[in-house]
Amino acid sequence: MMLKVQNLEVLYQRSILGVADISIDVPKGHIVAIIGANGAGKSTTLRAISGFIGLDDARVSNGSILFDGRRIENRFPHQIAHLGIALVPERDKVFPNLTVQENLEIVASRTGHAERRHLEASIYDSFPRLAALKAKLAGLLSGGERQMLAIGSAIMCSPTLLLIDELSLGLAPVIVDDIAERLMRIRDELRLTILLVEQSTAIALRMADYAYVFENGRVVLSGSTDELRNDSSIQDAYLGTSGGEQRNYRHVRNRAQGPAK
Amino acid sequence: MQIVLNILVLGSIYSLISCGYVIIYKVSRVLNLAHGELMMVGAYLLLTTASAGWLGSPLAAIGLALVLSLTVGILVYVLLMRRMTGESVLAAVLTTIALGILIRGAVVLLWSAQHHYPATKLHIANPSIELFQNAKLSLISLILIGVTVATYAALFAFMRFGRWGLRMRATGQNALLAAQRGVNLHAVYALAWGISTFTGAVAGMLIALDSGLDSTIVMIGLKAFPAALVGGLDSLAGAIIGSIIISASEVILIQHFNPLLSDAVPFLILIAMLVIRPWGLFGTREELDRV
Repeated sequence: MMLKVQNLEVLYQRSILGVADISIDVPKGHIVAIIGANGAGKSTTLRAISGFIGLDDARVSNGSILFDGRRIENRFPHQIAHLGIALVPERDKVFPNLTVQENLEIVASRTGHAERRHLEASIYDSFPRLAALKAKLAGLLSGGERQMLAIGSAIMCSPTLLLIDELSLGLAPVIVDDIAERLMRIRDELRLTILLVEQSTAIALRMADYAYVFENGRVVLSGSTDELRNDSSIQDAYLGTSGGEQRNYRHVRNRAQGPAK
Repeated sequence: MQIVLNILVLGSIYSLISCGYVIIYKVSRVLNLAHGELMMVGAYLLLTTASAGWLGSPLAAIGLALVLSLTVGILVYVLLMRRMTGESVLAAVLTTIALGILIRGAVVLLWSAQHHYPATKLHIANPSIELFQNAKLSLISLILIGVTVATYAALFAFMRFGRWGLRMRATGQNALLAAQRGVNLHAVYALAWGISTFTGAVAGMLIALDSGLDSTIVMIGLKAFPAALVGGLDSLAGAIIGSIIISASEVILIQHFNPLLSDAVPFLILIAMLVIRPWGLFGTREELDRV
């Protein structure tokens, strides 16, 4: 198992529960998705894996995170990046006052100069749009271009495990399809393992091999994406293909009671 | 003409000091109110190395004092400010105030309150040079202007093209993302404190060589703060403009009105600026709410 999260509990400000008891496995070479509503603890889980800084005032208070057999919980983000885990964050994913090229340049990678050049070439190859925008400030990019740059700069870290917090959020479907396709290509080329957090269940089930469903900081369901696609409760709650008023309302209420994000 | 030269010299002094405020603020949003005191430490370190006979040449004494100043800056971060990460910015700023008061006391204890002349100890002559008709400048002042220009050129190049300079800018914009991209935040902050104290110490040493040294040198560091703020605390270019504005108003007041005003006017300008345009001439507006 490449990544093994066991009974993870995260506390914010020493008292607010972010996630309560999360266990997930990410096997090498696979794409694993985490789905669930707002505030279900998806982002918190990814943040716990990629490391907190002092400003977050958060820590893993229980459970463990194993990466290639090594415990990595509560380490600094740069140490985790050097071990080979890179995150594409949900918000503030690029440095707005740096150019596209500089956004890749600042990455403190764990590899040598030759490998850096190779990665940079792969990124510009997979996302030719970025190559055309090299000298443009990242703050002036469109949402889709920003997402490409965020993926690119995460890949610049030379990761073996890529964490993606919301691939599709705020983007037009046609752009999401394009980015997803390019991501899959670069993932095959670099043999990346991916842990993907998605609000769009349809996209998550399409891209991933295996998925976990989070609710209120806990895993409520998991299975291969083929199984989940046919699961009636998933269809009710997240795909909107069946189910009546009553059930939907209860879900809305559950979400409102969920822990803070 | 003389008045222009005076403005230029004083502006250079303020610029060389105020870039230190800017560097630390830009990278960590912390206002280092001990910067004037750290500048003073740099000047007194030169006094110590100048007194050490075994160093031989004045250049060796200056070089050693510069290396020590850089070390002091890094140590301030590693031993003190590092513990403030994750605390509120206000707590960090209060810590720098406490550090400043501590340094002021320690300097008098270690080096006495007496007026010292490191230039005579180093046997550095400081002749007056007549640049234009009736317009004179001391040699050290001339060197100071050159050093300021060189320092700013180096800083601009470093922040624009240097990999660590880019990382410093990135950390200032989004420390979390920088850390996630493999950047060691502690290394970046320590570097910022090192560079800031180093440039401040250069200014302190040149002032001490030019006009002697006692603990009132802190006042000059304090007056460089309005210069940094008028220009905009996160802008290096702004620091130069702010320094020239402050020094021009100060020199003109001394020349044509009352010299006693010179210590008050920089702060009057500071207050005016805080009322009209608190983010400074070249500063970023949105940054302000984080102070």
